[in-house]
Amino acid sequence: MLLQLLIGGIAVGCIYALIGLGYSLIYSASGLMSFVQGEIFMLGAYVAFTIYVGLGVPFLLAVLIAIGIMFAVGMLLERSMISPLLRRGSQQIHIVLATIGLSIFLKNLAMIVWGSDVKNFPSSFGESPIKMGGVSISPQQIAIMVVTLACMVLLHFFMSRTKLGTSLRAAAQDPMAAGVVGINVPLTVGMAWALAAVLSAIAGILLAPIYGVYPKMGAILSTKGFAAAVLGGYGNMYGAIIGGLIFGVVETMAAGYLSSSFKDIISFGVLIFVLFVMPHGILKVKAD
Amino acid sequence: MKRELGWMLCGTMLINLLSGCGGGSDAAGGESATSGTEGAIKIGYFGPLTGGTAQAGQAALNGVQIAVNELNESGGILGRQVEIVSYDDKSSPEEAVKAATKLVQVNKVNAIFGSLHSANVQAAGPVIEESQTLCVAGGTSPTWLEQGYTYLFRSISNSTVSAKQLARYANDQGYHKIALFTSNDEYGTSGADGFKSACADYNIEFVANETMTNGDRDFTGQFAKITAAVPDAVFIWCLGDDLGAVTKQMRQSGFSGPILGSESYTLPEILQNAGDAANGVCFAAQYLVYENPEDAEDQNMKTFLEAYLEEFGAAPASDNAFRAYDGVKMIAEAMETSGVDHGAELREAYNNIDGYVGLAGTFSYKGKNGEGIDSMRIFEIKDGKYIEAE
Repeated sequence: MLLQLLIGGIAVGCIYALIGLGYSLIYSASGLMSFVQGEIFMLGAYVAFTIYVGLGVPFLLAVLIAIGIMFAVGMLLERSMISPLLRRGSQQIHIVLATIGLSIFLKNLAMIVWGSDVKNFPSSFGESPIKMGGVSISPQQIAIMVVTLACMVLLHFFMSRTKLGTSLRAAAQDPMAAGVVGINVPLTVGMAWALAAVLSAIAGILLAPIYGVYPKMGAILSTKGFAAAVLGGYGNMYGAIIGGLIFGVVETMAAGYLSSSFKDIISFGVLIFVLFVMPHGILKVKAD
Repeated sequence: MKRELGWMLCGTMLINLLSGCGGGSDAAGGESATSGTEGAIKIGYFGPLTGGTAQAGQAALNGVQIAVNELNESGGILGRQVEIVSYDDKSSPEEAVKAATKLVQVNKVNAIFGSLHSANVQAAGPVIEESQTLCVAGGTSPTWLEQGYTYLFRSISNSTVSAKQLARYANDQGYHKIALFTSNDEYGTSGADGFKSACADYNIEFVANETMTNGDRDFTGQFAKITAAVPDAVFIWCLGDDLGAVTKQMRQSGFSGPILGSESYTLPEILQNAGDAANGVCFAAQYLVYENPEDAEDQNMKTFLEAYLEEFGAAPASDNAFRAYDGVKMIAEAMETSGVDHGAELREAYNNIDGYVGLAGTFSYKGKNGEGIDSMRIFEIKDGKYIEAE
């Protein structure tokens, strides 16, 4: 059972990590906090659902289109809402409020557009679990782990090896100096928001076959993704990954060995404890 | 960094605060009260019209509508036309109390059908009892009728009946090791308790007892525990909006044996959401939700479905339509026999209903504390279709 719980916990943790990465990316690129990630997650699932099930586009193509759309949504969000607000002298708290407002707006919009019932998103990897020894893993869980790993590796190389990634980090460290040396700061910040949206949307698409697609699917996940980011060290990419995995495993173990009613108490208890001992989270901010 | 953490704290608090409000205001209070015509009989309705169980609530309201249409076409009740006053209780007990209070104090309705959620009926109970308004509800938990209310009635059998039927079925099939998986609310807790006490007569052992919170979607830990216990069957008792995901994940976690389920499995939506995962589910229910009137064997059911299809253009999304229809028709019956439209005499007349044949079967209320029916059939889901089990 330990192994079963561990694998289940890692799969759930991967999703938290993907959402947490989004929070951290936004924070490290613009020093801001966005609370709309959960709804972006939901929107990603709905967009993919509409293209894949509604229009009958082949799965991989549908996912690519959905990711493209969500990239644009993230960019648009930064360009049309966040940066105009900043230009008018909004403070951090106003941005936080604006994103919370947007999240409520999107949730209700989804209810109007798609209805409040749960939509079935068929798994393209098959429904029957694979048994290995005493452990059974669903193909979707494997897909979650593989895709998350791929996303992390890609993101790592993007940030450390490409020109755009380097300029993104530079813009985050000192926007003015970055601007002086010719980096297009607004573009890179928009890029960070867009990437965060893509990561959340991927998490949504990965989880849709397990959870089903419905307007409130992002509500719990956004809190847990946020917790993952805080646990790992807010603003640190690698921290978000570690935080997400720890959170997922602790939560699943608590549900498995103790009681499911203690699940959230224990996982959020660990979060409070870690912050108490290490106020910066597990990894210090801006380790890179 | 201290400052930033402060912001984070602010943010989390705010998001909790706001999402709390957000959930509550998903749709502005659903009052669709028709203006009161002098002398009309007012039937109140409260139930979920927004949120996760909105489809069930809407189906119930539609059921009320069909009953009222029928009554009005044949001259109304006591020669007076009937109208509906409806409120959305958003599946929350607080909202249910508000809705019930409005119905009895502001709209002064003659009788009520509502709600579908046992917790909501229980919460609204005192208000209804105090106003001496007859209220027929569709929630299946036995608890709210055990509180001594005299004005509350149920238009479906309670969950202990289906628990008893399922326990007998489990024993007949030779399931001796059963794992329980229930929601941790009133519905799930009473369902599990009912099943456990019904199993006491048989050689049945409970190898796991896991719970979930309504709306949660991660059951990895619970299901790992259940599969590790290697049960002969799993007993699942959750609300309809969770069942699809629960069933699917149960199968994905590697359990392929029989599932003994709650009557919420009658929702066609679950068949669609769970897909093949729902095969092998057995449940006890009064009726099935037919997509096509032709499939119904019962003449009453056929007539009802045809009227429903004509009025709303689609088959009912939930069996709550049947509960509501039966409830309103019996309220009308009680009004006709007693000749009064409110209060103690009406309550007495309803309590005297004996042998009324509705969609659910034959109702007899006398001496049963508000319960009217106690028979059910066992259905099985096979190849994505409902069949009656032997």
